[in-house]
Amino acid sequence: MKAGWYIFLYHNISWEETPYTRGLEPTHPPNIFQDHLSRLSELGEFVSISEGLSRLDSGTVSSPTFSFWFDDGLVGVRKYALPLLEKYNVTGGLSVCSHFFNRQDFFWRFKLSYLSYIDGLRFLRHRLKKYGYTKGMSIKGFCLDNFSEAIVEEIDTVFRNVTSDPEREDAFRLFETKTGLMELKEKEWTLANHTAAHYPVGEDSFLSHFERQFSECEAEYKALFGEESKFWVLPFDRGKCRSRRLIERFRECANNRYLVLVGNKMNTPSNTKEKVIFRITPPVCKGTHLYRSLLDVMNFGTGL
Amino acid sequence: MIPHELSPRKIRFPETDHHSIVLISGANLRHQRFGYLLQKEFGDLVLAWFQVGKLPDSAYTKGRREKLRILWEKVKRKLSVAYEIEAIRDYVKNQGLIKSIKKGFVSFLPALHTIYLFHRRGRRQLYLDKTFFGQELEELKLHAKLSPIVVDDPHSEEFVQRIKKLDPYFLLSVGGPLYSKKLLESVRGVPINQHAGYSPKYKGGNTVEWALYNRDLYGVGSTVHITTSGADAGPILRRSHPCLLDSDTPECCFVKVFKLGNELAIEVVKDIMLNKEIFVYDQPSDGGMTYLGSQLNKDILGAIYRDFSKKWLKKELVRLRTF
Repeated sequence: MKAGWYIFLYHNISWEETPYTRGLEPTHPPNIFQDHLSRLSELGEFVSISEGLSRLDSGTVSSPTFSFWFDDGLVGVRKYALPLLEKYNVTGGLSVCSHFFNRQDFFWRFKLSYLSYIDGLRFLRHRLKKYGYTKGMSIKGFCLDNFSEAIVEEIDTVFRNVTSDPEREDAFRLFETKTGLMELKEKEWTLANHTAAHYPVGEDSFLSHFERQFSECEAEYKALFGEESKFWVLPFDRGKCRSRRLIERFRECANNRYLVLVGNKMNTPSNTKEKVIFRITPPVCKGTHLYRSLLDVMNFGTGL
Repeated sequence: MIPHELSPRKIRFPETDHHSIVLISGANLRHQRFGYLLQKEFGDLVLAWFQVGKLPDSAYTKGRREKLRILWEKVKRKLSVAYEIEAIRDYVKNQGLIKSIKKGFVSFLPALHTIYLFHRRGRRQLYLDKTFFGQELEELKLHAKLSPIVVDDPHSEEFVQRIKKLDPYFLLSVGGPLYSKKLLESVRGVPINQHAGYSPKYKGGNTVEWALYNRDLYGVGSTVHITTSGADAGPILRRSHPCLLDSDTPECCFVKVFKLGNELAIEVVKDIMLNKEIFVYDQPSDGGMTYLGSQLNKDILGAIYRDFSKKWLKKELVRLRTF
């Protein structure tokens, strides 16, 4: 494996997979995550996000160096990933959305997944016709490709119609609480701004909301932790759909922060000079298959 | 998660300063792990831990020879139930020895197949128990104060009196038999059971297998409910689905369901400690099915294994993600 800083991106680590998450990014069960840690510890060294960054900046990354990042601020990270990473004496990074930790609004994609579980998509299909949805299209894909606040509103209306108050209240238990986030902060985890409501602000369709979404979360972040975030983590970083004006837009308002993308490649001093950090999404597989799977993920070994 | 198809009802649990816990569990490794995990989570609040029955004969420590002996005993038991010695003797007398041997061989094969399927399932279960819980159990044991007390008859008056004397707020149960009303009423707060199945749809025994047999992935789940004298039929406190992978076996699904149930039970206990008023979801008396252990036969088990060998789980997980 090439010397470099690799950041592995996970979402949820949990024994539980609710209908809110089953239709989306796969959850990694703790035993699989532990397996990954054990395999990766044979291949290189684990460092925290800040340590990885400073090593890369100072040019002292002489071996494969790994860090772990978790998106969306889900509660399973503190519950299961934290104790496992503590065994290796390393901390991770967690991206949080202010609407979720404030219990203000639920993640619109989780609502979609839940609607699929309770056969609520039939109502949504009907409502999406006026936005260009036609029979046979993937709702998940359509909503992301044609994203707008009006579509989010439609999803929310259907979700509210088919769920009860206790159900909606209970759904938030998937997300980390403010107390939980403070605990992670005290344990020196890197907490990052992941926008207020997890909209695709890096794509042309919604780039105009880039600053507003990050700033809203930034204000809540500052109120909670008493400091500004160092990292802005782009939601839905779909490589092909990433706007060409994204970096320019980011530089206009980022104020010396880092933009965190997916990209599935290792980090080099040149990209961190540009204030951009890449991460790799490991597949849900056993540790023994991890190296081969990572090669596949990273375009057959361009970075490994 | 809360059961979306059932109506919520708010109930208030008695106020207390002392949320003491008594656990009644089965004897397998997974049950033991829960006993020690509970002590880690709640420390001195766990007053006692009772274990119903001893470890099964073939579990964990027996050698190959001993396991073969147990297997032979099972075959003999199965044959003696199916055929009477005198009937066999008469058959041999009337049909001749060669025909009888042929007949015996043909009759013996399905029985052997049944035994093989169940034996393999048990072996895999034990292996997974060790893999999932073994190491953690050893770590948890280091900090534990209580060891399980073996109880032969949890229905006896003596046992009920013992529980009454302990005066627990929570009576947690996992992997044991049905409990009498008298025992359940001796609890100061609330008796809670962890059911490795998705109530009210799948109640009773082997419910993960029944959900898989019905190709009902959303029926593979774990339920934590208030214990009543009916099988897994009490008001639901929490219910959810395990995180399954393409490569999981039916036994792995069960272990994950069990492990998830442990987490849910702990979550519920913490929730009740903090909020005395919580939502419960009454199970309908006419909904779902209650399965007996004996209902699971080789045909059901064979069908599940056939599905898994044809990668049903993988296809189903993909299907659920495609919308």
